[in-house]
Amino acid sequence: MLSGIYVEGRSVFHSLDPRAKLLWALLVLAASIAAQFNGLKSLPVFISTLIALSLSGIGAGLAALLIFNASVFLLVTTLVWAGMYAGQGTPLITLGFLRVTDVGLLVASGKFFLIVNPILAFVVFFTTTKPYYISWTLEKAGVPSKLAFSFVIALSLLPGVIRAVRDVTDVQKLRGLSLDKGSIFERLRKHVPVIVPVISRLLSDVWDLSMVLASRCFGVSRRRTYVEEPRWTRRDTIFTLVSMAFYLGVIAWALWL
Amino acid sequence: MGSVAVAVRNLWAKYVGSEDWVLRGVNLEVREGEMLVLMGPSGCGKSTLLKVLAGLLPWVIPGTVEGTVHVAGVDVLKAGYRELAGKVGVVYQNPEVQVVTRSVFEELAMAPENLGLPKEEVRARVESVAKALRLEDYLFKDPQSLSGGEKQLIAIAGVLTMKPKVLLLDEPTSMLDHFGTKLVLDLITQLKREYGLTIIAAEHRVEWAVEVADRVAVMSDGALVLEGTPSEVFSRVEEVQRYGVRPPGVSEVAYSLARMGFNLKIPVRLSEMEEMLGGGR
Repeated sequence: MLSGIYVEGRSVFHSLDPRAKLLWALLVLAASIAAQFNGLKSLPVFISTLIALSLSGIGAGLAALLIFNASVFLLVTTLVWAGMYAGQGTPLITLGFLRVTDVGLLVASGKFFLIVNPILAFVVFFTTTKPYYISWTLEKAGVPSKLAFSFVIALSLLPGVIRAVRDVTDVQKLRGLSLDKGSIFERLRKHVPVIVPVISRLLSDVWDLSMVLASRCFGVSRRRTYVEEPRWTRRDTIFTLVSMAFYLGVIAWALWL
Repeated sequence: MGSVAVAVRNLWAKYVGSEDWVLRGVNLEVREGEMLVLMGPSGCGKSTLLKVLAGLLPWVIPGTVEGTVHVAGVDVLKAGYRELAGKVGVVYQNPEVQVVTRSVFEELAMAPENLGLPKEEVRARVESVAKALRLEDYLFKDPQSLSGGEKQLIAIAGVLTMKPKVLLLDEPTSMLDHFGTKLVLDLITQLKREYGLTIIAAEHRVEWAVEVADRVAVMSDGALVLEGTPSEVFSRVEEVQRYGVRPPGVSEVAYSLARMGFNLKIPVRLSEMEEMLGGGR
């Protein structure tokens, strides 16, 4: 139940200490925030997350899905932000009412990377770190034991939600529910018989899970024991130093250069 | 049998929002090493009784509970469920919800880890339970790849690493197939016979219950209506049936014969029936 989005593997990222990976993901977030108004300066961060994605061994299918969704998002952000900055900078393209300027494009891509880079980085973190180690890492970072474990539980319920939606949709389709016909509002209305049973099922599962956890002494001790603890190696030190040099360099470039 | 492990006096309980009492004046005593099987139709209060014994109602599940409940030396209604941590193990119906981690080892280690025990102690407990239940080959498997019955075994093993004094089983086989049911019932039998654990189980498999249980308690409409050894309870066939419990097949046959005029004692086990019929082999 608590498998989360972890994908079993033996990739470079799987072998890194979770603390090193978490620090890396936070550096990606910081660099993306710093470079959010200049897509050019955020581009190296994006490339680094793509490299991380390919080194995480999560499978081409999932990576392709993430990149495809990111491209759709890029189109939307470009339209929105380029439109907002249409009056500034040199016009590059004019499509009817929409004028894309160089400033608009830089801001749009910066905002795009602000959202996409951290998502990709945390996807790499969560897919290559066992939930057990995520909880351990959060505790090491000073998060109370109960909160750390609750976070892992919440995260781990995501695949269950997807499974429940799929199951209930299949059952309702067998009963004659047609979700792909009609106007948008009609389709939304037709999702009610899917959403209600899914929520009901999830509430029931969460309730049962809370009983199980209460019976297994969850939260009884202020500090939980972890029998298996990752070991920090030289490779983690090198990875952390390289990451810090690279992302702090990007932050400095974005803010002061 | 040893001293009293579970003592319930005049227990009344209801959940928030329910008007009627779910448990009505239940009195119960279970001695150390004893196995009690709770029987009764759905909604009779078996699960609620187990929730009170585990300290979940009213401490985790909101509700009203009156009376006195002592489990493993803890006054549950005064001390709360945290005081029972490590002393009482609970196994529920649904194996899917109970197996929560990525490996069987993690699953078995979870409760002692939550108790904050030293690493060596946690490891020793996991290894000892795995050895006792012959689960060594499972230790590094992903529980999600196991069958329902195997998951339920892991769930039971997961509570045994707490070294509980009392084990509460809430219909642990109700969601399992025939093979899974056999796996789980054999394990419970082993726990009772080899380890002398105090066990209170809500279970419908009557033929199994009469073989393993020291005592059987029948519940109806929130009250404990019949209690005694399996022979004492199930020899009262008509009464047991009236409370919505199916007696063992041999008892039903013997009872029908008795009603037809045959003069015989009501057996509850197949072996007793064989003996009555003069052996067979």
